Amino acid sequence: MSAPPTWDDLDAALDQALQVEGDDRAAYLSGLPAVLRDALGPLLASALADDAVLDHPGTAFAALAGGAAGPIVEGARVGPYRIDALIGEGGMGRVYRARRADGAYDQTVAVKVVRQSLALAGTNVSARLRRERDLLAALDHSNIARLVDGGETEDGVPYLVTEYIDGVPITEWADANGLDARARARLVAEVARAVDHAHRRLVVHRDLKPSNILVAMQDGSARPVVLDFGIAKLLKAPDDSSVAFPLTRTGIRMLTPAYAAPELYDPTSTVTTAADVYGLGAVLYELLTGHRPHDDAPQTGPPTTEPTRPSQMVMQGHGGPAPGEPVPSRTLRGDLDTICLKALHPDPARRYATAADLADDLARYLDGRPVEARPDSLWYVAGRFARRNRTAVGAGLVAALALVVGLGTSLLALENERDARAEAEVSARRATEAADLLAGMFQTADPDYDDGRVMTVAEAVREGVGRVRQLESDPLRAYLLLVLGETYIQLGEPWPADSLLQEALAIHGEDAVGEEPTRVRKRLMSTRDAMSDPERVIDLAEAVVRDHPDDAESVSLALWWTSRAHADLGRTEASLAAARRAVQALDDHSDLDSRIRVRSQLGEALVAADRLDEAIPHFEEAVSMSEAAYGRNHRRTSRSRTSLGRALGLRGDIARAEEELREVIRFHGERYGEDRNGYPYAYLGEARLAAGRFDAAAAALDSAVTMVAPFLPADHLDVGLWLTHLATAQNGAGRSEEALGTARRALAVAQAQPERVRPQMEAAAREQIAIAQGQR
Amino acid sequence: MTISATGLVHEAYLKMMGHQGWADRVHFLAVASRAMRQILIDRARARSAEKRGGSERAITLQDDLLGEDTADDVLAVNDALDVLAARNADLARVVELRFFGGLEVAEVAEVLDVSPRTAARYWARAKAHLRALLD
Repeated sequence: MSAPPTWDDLDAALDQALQVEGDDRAAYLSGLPAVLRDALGPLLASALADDAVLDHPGTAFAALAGGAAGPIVEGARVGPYRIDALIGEGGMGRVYRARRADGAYDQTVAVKVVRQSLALAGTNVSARLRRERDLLAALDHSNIARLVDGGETEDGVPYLVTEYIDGVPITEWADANGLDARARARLVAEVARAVDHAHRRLVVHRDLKPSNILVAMQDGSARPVVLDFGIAKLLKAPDDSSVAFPLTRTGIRMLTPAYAAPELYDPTSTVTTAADVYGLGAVLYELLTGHRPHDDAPQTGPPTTEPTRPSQMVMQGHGGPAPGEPVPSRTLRGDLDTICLKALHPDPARRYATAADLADDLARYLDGRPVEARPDSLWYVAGRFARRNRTAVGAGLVAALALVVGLGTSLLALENERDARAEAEVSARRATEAADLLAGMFQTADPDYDDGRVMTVAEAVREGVGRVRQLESDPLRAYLLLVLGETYIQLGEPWPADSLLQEALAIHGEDAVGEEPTRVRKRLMSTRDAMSDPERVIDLAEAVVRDHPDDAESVSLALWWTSRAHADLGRTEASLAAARRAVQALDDHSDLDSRIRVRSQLGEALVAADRLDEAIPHFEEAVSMSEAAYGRNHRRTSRSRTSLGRALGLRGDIARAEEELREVIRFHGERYGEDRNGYPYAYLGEARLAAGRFDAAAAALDSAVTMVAPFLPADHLDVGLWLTHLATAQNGAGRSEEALGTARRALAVAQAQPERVRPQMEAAAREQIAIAQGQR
Repeated sequence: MTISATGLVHEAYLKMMGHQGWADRVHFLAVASRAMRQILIDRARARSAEKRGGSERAITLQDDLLGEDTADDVLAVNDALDVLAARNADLARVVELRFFGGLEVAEVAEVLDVSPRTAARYWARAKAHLRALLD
């Protein structure tokens, strides 16, 4: 067998090889044809290795499923109860109003029909129900709905029967009766006492919210009643571990985001009474302000910040007309603010220790005594910061944050060691290691899509900057400024990065020579470039080349930036010369990314010099290098291909340009979404325009302008160029009405451009206006 | 990968609450993995597009330091998975369950109704082919 093995051959051989081990595997392999064995080698290696990406998805996914029991219709019987109506539906099942059908006694009850939970491996539903029943039977409190009965229907569907409460949700009741702040606080205090009763019997509610707390009128007085201790979980009794058993496998919890404590989002955390204190706080907050403490949007995940102070929430009149907004801001300021925020603290350990403590503090407020809760002092900020984010961010990132915050302190301590030089060297090395660790963590942490998280990283870095600036040791300060500057670049924020890096370079001295100053200069080239300061980029690059003439990678990188900077300044020849030198600095053994990069830049420089015939082979070379290294479907390949397609189009090679750019559009569309194709469509439009295909050009350019609108500022240089092209295409197609409008938009963009490009762009736009008007 | 697992699980859960009546646990796990894949890919796309939305200049600035990109990793796995699915649908399912669904090998075995040993071998094979497609 000399033909290359097919995929199926390889897969079959791989499967065989994996079924045996050790010597048997070696024997199996040696029996294979050489061509198959050689191809199998790398496959087998990756099959057996721990894959950095595939084996570490970082997504722990536990499961819980509810096979929903079908709705039970009116008049149906559940055990000895006849159903009157469906009155609610929750995570655990449906709730019906019912009455005893066998006439044993006449009482209206609530029947809760539990969903069958098939996901709970090894958990017997009826055993679970029995436990729940035992738990609830232990609760005997006038503010908790009593358990009456429980069992299984003839079909084996488990159900619970509780006292039926004829009441309305606590918030509605308070609004309907025009309660003032004190009356509202009194209601919550009463509920908190009931919750504390349950807590002392090791039952946690876990889902406290207004719809679970009804107010019923009884003997002329209002009684708040807590419903649905149904998802209660047995807490571990401190003296008897045998009482503890998990009711659910670690899994997804049923929760109502607006009222759920942050820790409930973490399926591995232990649910404690603190979650109910939070729930009580959320209900109090809503009663006082008419708003929930946090938005109920599911995609935001757990709240990582404290809610807005109630007094401020009321004052802002947040979110439009609230149903209540019953309490004036000045009433809330002070004690009620503090009590709410303490109950709603993101960190469970910083809330009231028990529901009774919350009730007591509310009582103190009602009596006019000083409350126990105190606003957070700054002392807690750092610790809380890390804890508050535990549920929202990966552990690694938390460690990184803690490190940033802690780093400055420990380094200050190090500095105070006035000791021998040897000691100082050790300290410096330790500091370097710590900082590298920090930088590495940020690299792996790579701030994600999540807005909240980017914010928290940014906060941490700001904190770090403050501490680093206090360091007395110049070398240490310079080094850490560099590290933090790089961190900001990681965060995609060149502005703060730039000032930190400038500061670092100033410490070293403008003319300093050495590894570290060079590293600073390399980063500064990118931030200065982002800041549109090409002259400075060129100076920095010269210093890098001067200091490291023999370091091919550094020289090539510096020349690459130089070439771009000259291009920005309109110095075509200088840009081309730098690009040529950048290519020459590298050889076949150099880093592939660098080689692709400089090759593309040489192409760009040649395009700028209008030497398209020379440019195209360089782009072709970049595409084939990238394709060989990364494959067809990779952003690097795609980027080189975009440049190639553009150059082909400018040369008038319309068929090939269409082919290459369509390939780019296909890849972007599949990977990033159809609307991420602004640039390729613009180049396609330019190519068609050059070929005189006006209508097709107009269509492509119109798509380009539309697609980039969400991403580029409206007066971006490229948008101005494309609008000018679009007007030209529309004029060419004889669509002068449209052309006039487009050209006027182009003119407006042109007038916003810097002096360097404005005159040309303005002239081009005016020309199209004239043409359009001439044709009218 | 640094995507917050708990946030995602919550989101996936909410997304799936729209569905009613899982045939069984196995069905649920399979659907959950699919939903998770969808969410991860949507997010990865959004993230990737964000970087690409700016000018070429902004991209280069990040590329200069960032090196491999998490979002692109996930997207690349997703693409490679489509290729693998065309060649062997079972292997691709294992990846969906393991990588996107976060299931243990034993759970994958349950979903596919094979022995844990076989499931582990499926995973090893799938990994090897994917790695070859990714490199």
